[in-house]
Amino acid sequence: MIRLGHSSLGASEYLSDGLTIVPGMSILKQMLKYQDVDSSFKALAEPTRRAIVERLSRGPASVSDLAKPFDMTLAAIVQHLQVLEESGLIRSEKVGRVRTCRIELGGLNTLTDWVAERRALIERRLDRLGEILSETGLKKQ
Amino acid sequence: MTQKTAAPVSDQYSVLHSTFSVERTYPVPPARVFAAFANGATKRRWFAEGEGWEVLEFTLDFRVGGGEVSRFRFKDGPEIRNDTIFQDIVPDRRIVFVYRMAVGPKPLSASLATVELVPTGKGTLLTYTEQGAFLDGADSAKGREEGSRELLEKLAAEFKGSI
Repeated sequence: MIRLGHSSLGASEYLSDGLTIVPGMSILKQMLKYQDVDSSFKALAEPTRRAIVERLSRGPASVSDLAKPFDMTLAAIVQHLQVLEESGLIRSEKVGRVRTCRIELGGLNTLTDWVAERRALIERRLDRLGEILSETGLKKQ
Repeated sequence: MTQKTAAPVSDQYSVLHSTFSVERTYPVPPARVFAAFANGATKRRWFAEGEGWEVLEFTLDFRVGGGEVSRFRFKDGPEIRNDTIFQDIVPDRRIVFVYRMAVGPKPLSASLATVELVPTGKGTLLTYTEQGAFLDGADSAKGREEGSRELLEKLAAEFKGSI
């Protein structure tokens, strides 16, 4: 019923533009995992990722800014960011050539709620379409 | 590589880009599903009516370059308006359209939507994908940030001693 993907994006794909599909998917995943506290805890059970989240709780930052304090490759940082994004704790958006990450905690984010509401509206409409199709199906068949 | 290009956090103007997909399988052939999009009376029934909404207007001009206008109101609420323009139509297979949604004078979103119909053994698989720019929803961003920080602190407390 719901299309999911991007579970194993490589660093280059993550950093490339990709038509904002990655943030969209992360929001979807976040909605699905809204009550999946487990994944959030797992994502935070790692010092680097906790440091990243703490940094982002003070405000948005670019991927390269986030990588600066750490003695590890950009690819490793990107992997940590993917884990955080998949667990719905952060989200990222590519603006121009810069991917900016920001904190994202479940239902607190009204922007996400907004998309969730739109999605719910579409779901209800498609359900009504199904009801109408089955009605006319009975009449015509 | 500066923060300048980042989306505003507390300004009144903000954009969230998002993509989502919804799938449904209907036990009828694609032509029947397609007709429910192409026929104004049928589309009005499932798209505009129901849920206690008052339909102020529903007009459909189903052709590439043609449009659809729907206006709704819920009880005494403000008017909600959708303006659609069809971009691509392949009978029984695909419909691509752009639409703008507004509440009163305030734009909510501008989106590209794609409906794909694929015949399956039992009927039709419909996939609806929307790629949207959701506008100016960040007016409570500061409160959310504070809420986020509180939650983070609670999470951090949970971890104390366990790691």
